[in-house]
Amino acid sequence: MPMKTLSRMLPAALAALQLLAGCATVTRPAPTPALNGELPPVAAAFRTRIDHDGNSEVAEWRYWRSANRVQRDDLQSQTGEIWQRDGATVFHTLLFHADRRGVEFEQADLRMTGADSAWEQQMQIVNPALLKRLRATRSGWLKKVPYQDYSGTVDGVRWRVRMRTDLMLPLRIEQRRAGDVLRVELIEAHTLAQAPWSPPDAAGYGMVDFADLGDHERDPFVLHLQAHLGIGHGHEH
Amino acid sequence: MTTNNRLAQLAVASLVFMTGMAVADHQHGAPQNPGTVPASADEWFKAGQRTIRQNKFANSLPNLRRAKNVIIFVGDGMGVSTVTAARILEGQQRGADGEYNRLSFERFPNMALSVTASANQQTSDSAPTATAMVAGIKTNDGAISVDQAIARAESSASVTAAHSVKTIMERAEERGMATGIVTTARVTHATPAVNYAHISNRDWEANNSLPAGATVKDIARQLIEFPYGDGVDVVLGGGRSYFTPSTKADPEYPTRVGNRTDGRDLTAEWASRPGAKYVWNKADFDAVEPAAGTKLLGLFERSHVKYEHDRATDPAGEPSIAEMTEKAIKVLRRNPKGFYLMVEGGRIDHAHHAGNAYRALTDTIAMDQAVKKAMELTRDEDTLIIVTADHSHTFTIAGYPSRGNPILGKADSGLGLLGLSPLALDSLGLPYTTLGYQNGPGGWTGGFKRRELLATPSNGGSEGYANATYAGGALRPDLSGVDTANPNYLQESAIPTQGAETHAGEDVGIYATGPRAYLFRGVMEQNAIYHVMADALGF
Repeated sequence: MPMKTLSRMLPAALAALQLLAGCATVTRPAPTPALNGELPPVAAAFRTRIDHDGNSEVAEWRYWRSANRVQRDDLQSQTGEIWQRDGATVFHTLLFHADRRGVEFEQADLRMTGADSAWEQQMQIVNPALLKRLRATRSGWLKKVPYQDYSGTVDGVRWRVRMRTDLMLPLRIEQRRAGDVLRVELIEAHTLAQAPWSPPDAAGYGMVDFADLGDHERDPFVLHLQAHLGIGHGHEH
Repeated sequence: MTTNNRLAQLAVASLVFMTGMAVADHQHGAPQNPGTVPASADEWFKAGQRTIRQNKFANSLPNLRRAKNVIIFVGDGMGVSTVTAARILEGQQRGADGEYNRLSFERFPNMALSVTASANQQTSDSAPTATAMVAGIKTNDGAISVDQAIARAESSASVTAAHSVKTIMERAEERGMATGIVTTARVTHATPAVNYAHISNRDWEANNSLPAGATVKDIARQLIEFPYGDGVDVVLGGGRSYFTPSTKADPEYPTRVGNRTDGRDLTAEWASRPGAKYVWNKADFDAVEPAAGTKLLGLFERSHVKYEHDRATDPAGEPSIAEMTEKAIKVLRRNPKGFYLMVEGGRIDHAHHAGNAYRALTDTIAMDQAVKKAMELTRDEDTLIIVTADHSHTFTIAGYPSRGNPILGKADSGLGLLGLSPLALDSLGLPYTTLGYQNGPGGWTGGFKRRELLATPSNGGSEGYANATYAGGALRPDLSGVDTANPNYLQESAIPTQGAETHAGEDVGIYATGPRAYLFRGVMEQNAIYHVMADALGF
């Protein structure tokens, strides 16, 4: 195995071992963040709060990550999404559990919707390209968990991010833009094998290609989707 | 003297008509070069005269022969504005004058307008419009070669059979002709499906989408079990997962499986027949040597094949629509009784739905390459070639850009040399693109601001979609620093329809050459296209 690959894997492997054994000490240096490195399979729960014009929205969601697949599920809205990597190809599926329906995006759809770089973001919630544009500040251990703080302003958005470096997941994200504040907080994390919850099985869902939405002009589900789908020109986060 | 000349021409034309003589017996060649762009009033005048001379002497006599072969190209969603913009883009890409450029089919001698309204729609979807073209009737939205009296959700096989209408492909097979379909969409998608399937709901493409208790066969199965003649001979396009079982990993994307829940692998069933081949990648496709009796099924993607712009990134490689057309013709022409072939540029429609002019136009140009290839491989004397669209889109070419202004760019003002803004500006003082949509997911005007990537609770993270704030509270984005020629740029639209831009209801063009092509004239109901094909083939 090349030394470079080995050196990338070691911190994550060590951190995963510490997580399982619960034996980390505060005297050891925190693992170096493995931006774009191999990431351990995890299951996690997050809480998101958005403050906008004096109103607040809160949502809790679950997250499952393995080497080539990310699934996330929003408990309140009964929606979810799957990101599946197959070689160099990434498939994205939006899930609507109440309808037992889904919308599938292929790579060109992702390019046109500005989400073609989303795989990297999905793998660690915060896009590693964004982290590289932020300033790494404090690092250390908190309740036996290694972390690295980042902060800075990118494209008019002020960011404060604390990454859990053993899992490469955010412990918290704070994003401020034009008076709007978004906060994401990690509630709990587990190894994927020990996850207390399983992702919803979408095998029997009726799927429609994103490209075909325009030909489903009388499909009530597709009409309902108008409120959920947003398309813009992508920019880096 | 002038009167005498006219009389002489009329006499010759009448003689030809009376005796059934055909006009020029020649191969469909490369279109004539229109020459250089006129640079003076005199040159424009002479160019206009040349056009009339050509129409008088070369294009005025009807080709009365029977057609041995018929090829119909359907640019899905290829309205007149799409053809015009594609013509300009294709010319500009070659460094030529885009406005003076013509796509190959725009030089066909016969043309008409097609009224696309269906039996129950002012603006139609592809199912009834394609049915009109191949079955000669108008029907309702979503209907695949069944009449307008059937219910949209009719799932009974016997009721469906009672409402089925025979298609040009079925008649061709009954005559012993070869038949084929080429498409860049799924081969089970509405436009190709109308040739071989009869079903009330275009979405029932595989058995897993049929309602419980349905006895009608799904569309993919109807293709494989096509009961006319010796079955469809060539089928090339996308839609692999609709033919393979949910227990079988996809050969190109091993993490994915087929859609079918009946356990059937229709690709294997096809390949088990004598002379039949099934291919799913470019290398195997290239290796197919057309031979008498060859039956070729090529499914190059799980769903639709790639847009032309993205085709080079396909893991297993995909043939272009021109390459598929060439292979299809070379297989089908081995039948001495002739052939019927539909070629669909299916993704023009999808790119428009996404509000992405670049892919819509480059896929139109790719289909034009397929038309050129068909012209090279066939002869005007025995092959009727039709190029048309099933419906239009809300796509517009607007502003007053200068001749030669990049068609994907911002409209220029033509006043830059006077020290004024080189770009045309709207009432807000903002530049705008030449191409745009009346509705769609691109940037919106009218105060409903376009959604930008941002965070929402439901996506839980640092990126998502949210209403964007434009600088200065403007109603539109400032495109000054935006590369609107980027292949992923989504043109602005006036009305926000986030899921997809819609079809449009104006007429579309019919361009034709070959036997009986002269029957296309004026404003015709779309179902007349079938009747011209049937007349040309002697059905």
